[in-house]
Amino acid sequence: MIKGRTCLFLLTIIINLSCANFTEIPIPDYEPQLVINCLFNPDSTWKVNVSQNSALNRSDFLPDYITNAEIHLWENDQHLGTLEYTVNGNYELNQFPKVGFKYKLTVSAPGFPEVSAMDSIPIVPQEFQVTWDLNDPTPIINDLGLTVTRYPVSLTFKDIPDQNNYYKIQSVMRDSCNCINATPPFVDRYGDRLYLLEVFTKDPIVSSVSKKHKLILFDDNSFKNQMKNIVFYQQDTLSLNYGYRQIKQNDSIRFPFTYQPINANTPRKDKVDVYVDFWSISQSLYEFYLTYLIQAYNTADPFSTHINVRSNIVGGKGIFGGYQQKLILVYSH
Amino acid sequence: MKRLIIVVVCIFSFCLLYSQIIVSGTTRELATGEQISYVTIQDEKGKGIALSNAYGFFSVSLASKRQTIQFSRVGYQKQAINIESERDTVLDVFMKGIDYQIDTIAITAFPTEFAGSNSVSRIVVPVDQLKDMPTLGGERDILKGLQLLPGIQFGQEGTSGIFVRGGSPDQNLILLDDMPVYNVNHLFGFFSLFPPSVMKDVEVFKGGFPAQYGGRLSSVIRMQTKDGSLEKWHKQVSLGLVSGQFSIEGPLVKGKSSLHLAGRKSWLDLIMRPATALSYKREEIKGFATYGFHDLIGKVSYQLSLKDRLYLSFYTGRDQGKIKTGTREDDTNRNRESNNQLQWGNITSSLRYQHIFDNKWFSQTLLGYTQYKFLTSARATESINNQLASSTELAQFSKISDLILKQDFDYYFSSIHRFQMGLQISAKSFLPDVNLFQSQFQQTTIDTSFNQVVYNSQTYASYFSHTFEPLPQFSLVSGIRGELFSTNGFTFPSIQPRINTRVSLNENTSIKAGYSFIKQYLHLLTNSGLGLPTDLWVPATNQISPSSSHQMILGFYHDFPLGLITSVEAYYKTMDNVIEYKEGASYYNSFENWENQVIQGKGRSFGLEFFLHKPLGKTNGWVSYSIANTQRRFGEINQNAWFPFRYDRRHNVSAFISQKLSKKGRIISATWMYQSGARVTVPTNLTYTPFDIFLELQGVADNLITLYTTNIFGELYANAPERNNFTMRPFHKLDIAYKLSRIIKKRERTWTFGVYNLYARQNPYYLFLRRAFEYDPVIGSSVIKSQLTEYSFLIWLPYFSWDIKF
Repeated sequence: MIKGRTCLFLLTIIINLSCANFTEIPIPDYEPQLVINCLFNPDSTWKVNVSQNSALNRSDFLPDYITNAEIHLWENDQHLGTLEYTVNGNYELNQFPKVGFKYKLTVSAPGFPEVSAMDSIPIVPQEFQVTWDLNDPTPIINDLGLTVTRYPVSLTFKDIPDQNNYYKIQSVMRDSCNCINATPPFVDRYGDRLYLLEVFTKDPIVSSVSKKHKLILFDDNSFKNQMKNIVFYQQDTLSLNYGYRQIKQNDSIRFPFTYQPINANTPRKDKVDVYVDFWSISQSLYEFYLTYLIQAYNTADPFSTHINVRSNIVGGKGIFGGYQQKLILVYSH
Repeated sequence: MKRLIIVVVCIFSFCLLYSQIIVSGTTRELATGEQISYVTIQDEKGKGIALSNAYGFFSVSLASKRQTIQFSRVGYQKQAINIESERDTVLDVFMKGIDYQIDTIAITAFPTEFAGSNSVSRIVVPVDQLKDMPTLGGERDILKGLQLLPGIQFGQEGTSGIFVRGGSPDQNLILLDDMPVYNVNHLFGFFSLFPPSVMKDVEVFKGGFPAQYGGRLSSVIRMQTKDGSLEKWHKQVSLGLVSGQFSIEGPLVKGKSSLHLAGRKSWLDLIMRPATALSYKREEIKGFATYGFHDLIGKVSYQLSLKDRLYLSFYTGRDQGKIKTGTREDDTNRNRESNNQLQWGNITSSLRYQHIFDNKWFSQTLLGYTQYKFLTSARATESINNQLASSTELAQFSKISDLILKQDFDYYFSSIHRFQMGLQISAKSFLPDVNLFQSQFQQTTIDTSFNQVVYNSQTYASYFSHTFEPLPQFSLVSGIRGELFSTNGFTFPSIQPRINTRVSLNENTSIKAGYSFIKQYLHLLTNSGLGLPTDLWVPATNQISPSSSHQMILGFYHDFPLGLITSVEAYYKTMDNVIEYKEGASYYNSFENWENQVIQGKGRSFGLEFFLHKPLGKTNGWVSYSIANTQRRFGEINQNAWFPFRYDRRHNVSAFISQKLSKKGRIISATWMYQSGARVTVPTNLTYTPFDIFLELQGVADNLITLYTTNIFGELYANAPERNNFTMRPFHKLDIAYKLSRIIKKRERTWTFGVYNLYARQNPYYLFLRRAFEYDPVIGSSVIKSQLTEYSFLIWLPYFSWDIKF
């Protein structure tokens, strides 16, 4: 027994002497660049946010807005107009983007080289068949290694022919009656409470990283011009009380904000609806979302390589991406 | 026709000229009967006339029927043999081994080690020196010894993975008794499979590859285990902080057959299991965590005659980790159990038959099998009133196996011409990554497996090599290797030329040059480069091309008196179709086919290497320095621009010294290593994105914040100007060891004490960006603090070990 204790003591000394240590390293310098953020779709007028990148060791979330930028927009090489500054780095133009047109943006600001970007709005499939089987609970091991119950949603659509397509699926619950006992992350302009539901799929078409999160990102490489059926497992609305993280005090920096209407024509109802929120997104936007997710996911792994978020802004950072949205009602309660 | 007759007459005359007395045989160690490789054979005037091959076979043609020939090799006394025969003779030449720490003055002659040999970028590693090196935790390790050689470096500190001239670990062909080993690591790379005590010969080719080797781009590491003594039984037991080892060798039939058997078992599991059980108990959890590894290696040799020999070799080793926990709720009579397992291991076995034909032909036939398997599983169960309520099991499995039939011939036509040729057929089976998912919940049962794709591949290879040495001052080794690799219906043929040449400026000085083209038909999918068991071996397919490499070498070699040998080598290497995971893809988040997760690109490396080696003497060791530049380029990474390789360490300096002290049986040794910092990608700035862009991702970010406290970017994300833009701090450390041996009652007992990282240098292990909320008393609220932080460990680690030989 004494010998055992002596060994343990020696072992403790050795481990302590050889224990890990942290050394702080100065963060390398960076080159200031313009950051452009603009997602456009046929249902909203043009809005572009301009800021500049900032030091990595800054201690707040406050962006460095650029308020004196000059922004020009072209539609199929025709000058569409110059955007006007409003507030918080936002520049607006009261026109709606159109499907099938190529858009180009140029932004110049004192002290920065001019940046530009091009993109267009992809076509979204119109016909969907969807079922959500609440009688078929499926146990899934989530990221925390816990077994949770999910219900399969079967979604079938026809791929848009003769082009490379990129899709994003999320599941949104709209609570018009304050029936859900959880603080909502979003509120739409009608005051309805919006929740994102967890989704998970084993479908091999889905880029692996997006399986870890509350969205499904994929391209059409494996089903070009064909019907595609994707089955994903969706969180039950009732599990929200347990499954969704409560908003923290610190989040007040980011909340409240106004969620733009997911579809202006969607009628308001005094009940709980669940939608599959289906997006056709441009390749640039797809790569932007995907690399963002990868970067966020990899930060937990010290051995992983840092991945830059892909940007289509030439000479700068950010995203200029087109998308089109389709909301599919799958459940109404 | 006239021309044809002249050619035939010339050939006939040529043959007649050399149809003299042929003396052939095998060079062996006197004490044990072990074969000795690469022995230099000289005539009476000291002129080199032949070199025995890797298996000790030699064949010399003698002009005079009465002649003395001399055999010499580092570590052995020079042996002179008088030949008085009118007929061809086959003989075994026994050489007496000498203590490699013998006083240098007592050494009368040294064979030429570097300057005179025909090979380029080849180092015969002195196993005896490796045994005296300071170690990590007292575990002697061949691969860690190799990391001190010029042009070879490690990946992460403390691990056995080796990177040769800008290559990655999968580009090293590691042969154990001529059989490839696919994962050479224990304990996540901290120790390798091979303790030096079981090895007879270790040689490393960093370039100038002989035609008989193929399939890997960067190096061939050939290890031969001891045959075992034919004369006497020897036993050895070693106890260290990490493991215990034994070895036993001796004659099964005296003078004819021998056995060598060695094993190792780690202690970690014996310590971990009770310690973790105690820790869990404090948290009212029933369970434990454990980790251990073991090796068993053996060889049986049988000498059928002077010309025939048979070997049976095997190796098996396994790592196993387990975490088992269970909780019980008494009020609900509910039991929850979780059982996580990780295990991996290698098996190799081979049967070799060596035969000498016609005194000039040596042949070896090999039939062997090698396998590497990895399994990880997680099982969670819940029972109520001892009735199973639910269970979930997730398992991942991968495997590679290789069945090899190989025939090699070595033909010593004359002292001017030597031919080597051979054939190899290999059938590989890859099962890269199978995911199994089983679940039982209420009335529902799911049993699914993903990616159960087996790749069966065949490799057919043949080679021919000609060594032409018309003058002592000049040699030309030219070879060609043809390979045909097929997998799942696709074939990849290749012709791979190899050429090495030597021009000796004098007896001790030479200039050599070499070129080799080599193809690699299998890839290792790895995220970390650490040599983790989760790394997956995959074949070239119709989607993923084989990788290839061209390498050119120019070297200057000089052997100083008293056994000091030096070399300076410059190399330039290009690599095509090297593989890398797509950005962010990894084994861990994969349900999809690996072929969709990887990209292929180019690599290039060039450098200059200096080596000063003193293999014998009271004071022995080496110093090496290399300066190198290694880059990679992938279409989808870094905008297709060249970027530094992760382990592009510009300067590497290594020194090893072993000093025999005046008092008998005491040796002090030290190694010092300096490497420029590894390259990593470090973000330098943040980009803001307003919420309406990330609206749909907000839930994602929230989730991540909950999970990972090191990152709170929220709607900010980080940018790096280019891949691997940052150089970590340099790595350096000094290790020392003191060895004390005593013979008591014919048993040699040795204590070894040592310290890893004597001056406690905090070397960078990895680097990460910490971002977290911290309360700022000046502002009175929480702010985000970011800091780039290097993590160090293995700081000042003492060890001891104890050996007994009897």
